[in-house]
Amino acid sequence: MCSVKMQMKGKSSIYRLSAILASSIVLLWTPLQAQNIFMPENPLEGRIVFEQKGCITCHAIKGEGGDVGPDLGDRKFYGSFLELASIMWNHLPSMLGQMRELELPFPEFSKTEMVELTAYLYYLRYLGDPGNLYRGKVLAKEKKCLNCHAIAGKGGKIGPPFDKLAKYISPLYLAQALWNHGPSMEKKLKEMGLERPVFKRGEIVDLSAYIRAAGKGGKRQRVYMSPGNPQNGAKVFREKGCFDCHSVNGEGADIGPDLSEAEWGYSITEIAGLMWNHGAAMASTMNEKSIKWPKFTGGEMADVIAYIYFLQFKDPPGSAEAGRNLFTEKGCAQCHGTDARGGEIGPDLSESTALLSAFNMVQIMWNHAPVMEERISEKTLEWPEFTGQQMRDLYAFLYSLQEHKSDN
Amino acid sequence: MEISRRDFLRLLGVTATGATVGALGAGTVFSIPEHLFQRISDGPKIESWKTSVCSLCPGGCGIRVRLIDGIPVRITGNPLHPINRGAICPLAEAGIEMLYHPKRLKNPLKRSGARGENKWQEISWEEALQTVSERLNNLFRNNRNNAFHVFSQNYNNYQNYFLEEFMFSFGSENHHVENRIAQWALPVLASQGWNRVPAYDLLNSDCILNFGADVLDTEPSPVRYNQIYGALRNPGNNRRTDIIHFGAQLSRTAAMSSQWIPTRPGTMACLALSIAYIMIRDRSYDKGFVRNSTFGFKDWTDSEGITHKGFESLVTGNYYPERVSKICGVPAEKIVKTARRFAAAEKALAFGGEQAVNSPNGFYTSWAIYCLNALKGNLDKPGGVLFPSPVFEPPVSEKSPAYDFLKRNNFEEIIGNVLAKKPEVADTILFNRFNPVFNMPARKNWHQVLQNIPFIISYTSFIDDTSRFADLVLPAPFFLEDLDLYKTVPSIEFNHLTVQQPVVDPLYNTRGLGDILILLAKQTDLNDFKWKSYEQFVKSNAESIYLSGEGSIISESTDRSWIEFLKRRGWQPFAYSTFDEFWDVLLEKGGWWNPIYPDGNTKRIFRNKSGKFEFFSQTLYDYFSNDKGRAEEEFNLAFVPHYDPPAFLQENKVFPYSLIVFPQLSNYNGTGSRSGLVQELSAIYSREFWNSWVEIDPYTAGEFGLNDGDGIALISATGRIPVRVKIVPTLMPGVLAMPLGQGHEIPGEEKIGQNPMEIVDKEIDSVSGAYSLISTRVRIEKISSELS
Repeated sequence: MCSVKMQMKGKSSIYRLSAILASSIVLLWTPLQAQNIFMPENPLEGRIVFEQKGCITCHAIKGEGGDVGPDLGDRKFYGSFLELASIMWNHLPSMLGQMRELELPFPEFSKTEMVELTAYLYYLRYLGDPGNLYRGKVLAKEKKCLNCHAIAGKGGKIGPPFDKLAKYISPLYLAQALWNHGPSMEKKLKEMGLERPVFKRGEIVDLSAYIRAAGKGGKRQRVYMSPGNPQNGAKVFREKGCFDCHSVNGEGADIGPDLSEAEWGYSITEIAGLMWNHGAAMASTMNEKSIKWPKFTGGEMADVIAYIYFLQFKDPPGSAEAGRNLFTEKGCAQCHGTDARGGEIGPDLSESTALLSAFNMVQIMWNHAPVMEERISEKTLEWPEFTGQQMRDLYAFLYSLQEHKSDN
Repeated sequence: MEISRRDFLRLLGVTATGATVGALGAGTVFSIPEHLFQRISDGPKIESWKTSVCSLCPGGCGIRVRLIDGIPVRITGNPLHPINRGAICPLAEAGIEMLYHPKRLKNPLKRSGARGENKWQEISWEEALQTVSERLNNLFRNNRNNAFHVFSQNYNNYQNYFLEEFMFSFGSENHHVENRIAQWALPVLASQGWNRVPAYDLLNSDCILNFGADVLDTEPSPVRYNQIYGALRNPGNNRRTDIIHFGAQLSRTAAMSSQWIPTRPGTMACLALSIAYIMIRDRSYDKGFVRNSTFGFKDWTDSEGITHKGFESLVTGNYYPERVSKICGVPAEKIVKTARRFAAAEKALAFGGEQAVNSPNGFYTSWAIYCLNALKGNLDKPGGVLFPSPVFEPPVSEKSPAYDFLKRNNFEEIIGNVLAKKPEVADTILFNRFNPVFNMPARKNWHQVLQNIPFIISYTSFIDDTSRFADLVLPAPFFLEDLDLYKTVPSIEFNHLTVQQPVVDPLYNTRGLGDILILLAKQTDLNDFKWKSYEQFVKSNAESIYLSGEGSIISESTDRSWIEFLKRRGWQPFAYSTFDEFWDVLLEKGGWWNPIYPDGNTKRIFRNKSGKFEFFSQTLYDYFSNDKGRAEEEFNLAFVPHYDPPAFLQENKVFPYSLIVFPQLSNYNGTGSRSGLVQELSAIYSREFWNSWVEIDPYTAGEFGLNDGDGIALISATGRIPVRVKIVPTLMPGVLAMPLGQGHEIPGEEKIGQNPMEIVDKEIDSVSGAYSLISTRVRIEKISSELS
């Protein structure tokens, strides 16, 4: 079995001089050597590619953009990089047809652009939805928040007034405040004989929307926050001692679950809600082991959640054997030769830079799609569709060619 | 490698032969300081780029300046800037030429000859500022604070706010800010109490009625509007927006419209009200909006029991198309057809500009046009008139008369007082990059005005038609050398802020106005003027945006919908841990914007007594309530939009033709006249390079036996100028049109072309105080000499 090694380095700056120069800029992602996980610094940067390559002409995000293709903001979660890549690949025949009809140029991507675009699409689900203040009002009552906290002069005086949070537009501020005062709140709740509130899916967002609307003093100043820097999140994760309980890809303790194996197809605030909900059990375990409760400041919680969310961007390894079979079954061999060493039409893939990383493979596959479409239409073949797992297998096969080559 | 003068000029994008245009009589165009040659000769030839904003017109275009070893060599558009999206006009391109212009002022100057002679003695900054502070101290000690006047042009920059703060501290109310688009704001103030220029959502409109706004050549933002018109007229635009342009001349803006309807100057109020007539008669106006959200549409009775005619009665009783057609020259059926097209469009808007509103009845014209939007019910709606929230202006803007649309612009009153030799009115005047002698009508009057003022200071980068009369000239840095902030350009639908960052150290011994004022404040003991440096003021204003968390620094991915998507979820597209980090990125990218249109109740746009759109303006009524005579005499008409036939339309046998003056994109109001590039481009279609011309219709030309290029004298009641003729079929008969921007008169410099302001009559709109540019009557005399 081969290991998937994707070499990326950290971006020296969020801000590139110009997107036009993107293709000439070295892909700068930080390798987290210990885990072989690669994190973008600002996944929102892929929006530039989305706009500049014209994806927005056909696809909307939550209603804003073209209506030729599906709205990409509607999809819940696209899965790992290669799962996402398989969706993009499979939509190519219809996309090429539509683009011909609309006389649009085919968008080729550099590797940087491909990574940024896919990271951006992966990130969309994470950004969540706006809250509903009416639901939030009901929740504040149901969860008995106002027994301890006041809002606009009404409510309890045990905890700090919610008005202080009214200026924060991002619901993650509320989630972070909740998290930080979790242990003391737990204690108070016990004293008062109240149950610890549990938050389902978008409830924190709704509660935050209510606090924003009803709280005093939030109208003039508005504080937004960054949805998270996964690279920084990896550092904070380590610094806050999360590895003392959790593991990632096998690294770390096994008190809590391995976070790289959990399903993270949720929004940031949903993940924050899940963290809060397991806070009680976590606090008691930490007490037993005399581990200090980790508190977050500034954008640290967002960064950690972004890091956790991106753990699944990385694909599990595929099967080179299955990939070899696919290579023939899907017709790749017809052009590239049965062993991928070059055929009548296609080049020798063992010599290809496609083998350097899964990102390279997807980028090269994408860019050769128009030519490939022509060739398979001449040969009256069908467009080869792949599932995410098949993409992983295919990459494992292609990567094995490189390994075998170095063996020789 | 040795680098020659020729090599350097090539870097600047010109050939060495382009550096001098002696044959054309303009002398040397480039004068590069020696130390720059040294630097580029010895330097490593490293290219870099800096962002800034072009301030050669008020359009607010973001620019990128290419530098070699830190020396500016070219200006291009900033592709990230939401105003111009990478495009710029020839005037901005000419910025480099003007930076290195040989006539740039290099040191402070003291007058050494008679006033206006253009004879100077160079002095030190210490002496110059000492002279100014002595005068100010003298006024201050004698409680004559208001005898210090400042006249500023208004390019939407923060320097004027700073100056305003200085004037407050000094105790003078006389900071006069020119605003050539006050007429865009006044109707909104009258009907809604909203004291700002609204935004017109042209891009989302299906039908646009443009009453004489040559937006592709002049304010509010010509490059922006060129892009909008380009997008609307693009065959790929599925919306198929109808742009119907009214005006006496087929201007570039009219030519880019779907339809040009020739309309007699000074009659557009009548035309707009006739369109309203059709909408009312057809009952095709937005009845729900008019019923629920307007005041004064129907006849009404005031608290004293007096009944007033409503807008409906006034319009239906006076403006039927057959009558209006005879006044404005538009066929009645065309008025009806246009009105029905406007009424039928799903999204439609009407707006007016200088050819309609810079007239003696300009305010009521602009108001009549604006009322069409209320009838259409398109206020605060996509494709209609928008009202972005005011954004981050220093507190001084709220209380200053300089920013009160009803008080500003009344230069005539000041001039009158000065002419009447009232020294208590004006002792010392500072012209802040403002050239009224060139830009305003009746310039001979100005000559006299300036002779009567005891002390004149000019803050400018070049000696111009006004500064030649100064006693003291303070050399201003060129905009590429100066720091400032530029706020939202009026009429643009999103808020934005652009940094004018100095891209190069000052080439000469110039100083920024802000820092001059700080020194003067120290020397005149203005203790409440708190600023330590102008940079501190600029940064404190930028910091208020940083702290607000609103909007986003412009970047490659700040599409409006995306910012809105993120902001609604509480996310910031980019995070900055400190203001310094924010500031650095702001300089790198060139600006900030907030494309999110405010949510909320439409009531926010009505800031008047009724909380509704007022066809009868209670705001105006209250404003003029002290002016009892006026209120009583003109009660019913003064506070509703109506058409006053201007006197200039009466039959005039001595001066049978109307003269309109028009702007040109490449020269704005004469700012670019010193540039060879501008001179070569401005006459690209008239072929009268480095010269002026007057446009005349073939019928009138035939009457005088005129051919293209023949000379005529244009004679008005105010003056006479010789000029060459350009015969065009795109002008209403009886109307002559002449471009603005040529004819600077500075002793010792060759005069290029003629300035039409020489003969434009001094007529103003009584409400706004704005000068009329369309009401001058002229006669023609054929001449054979006087023109080279």
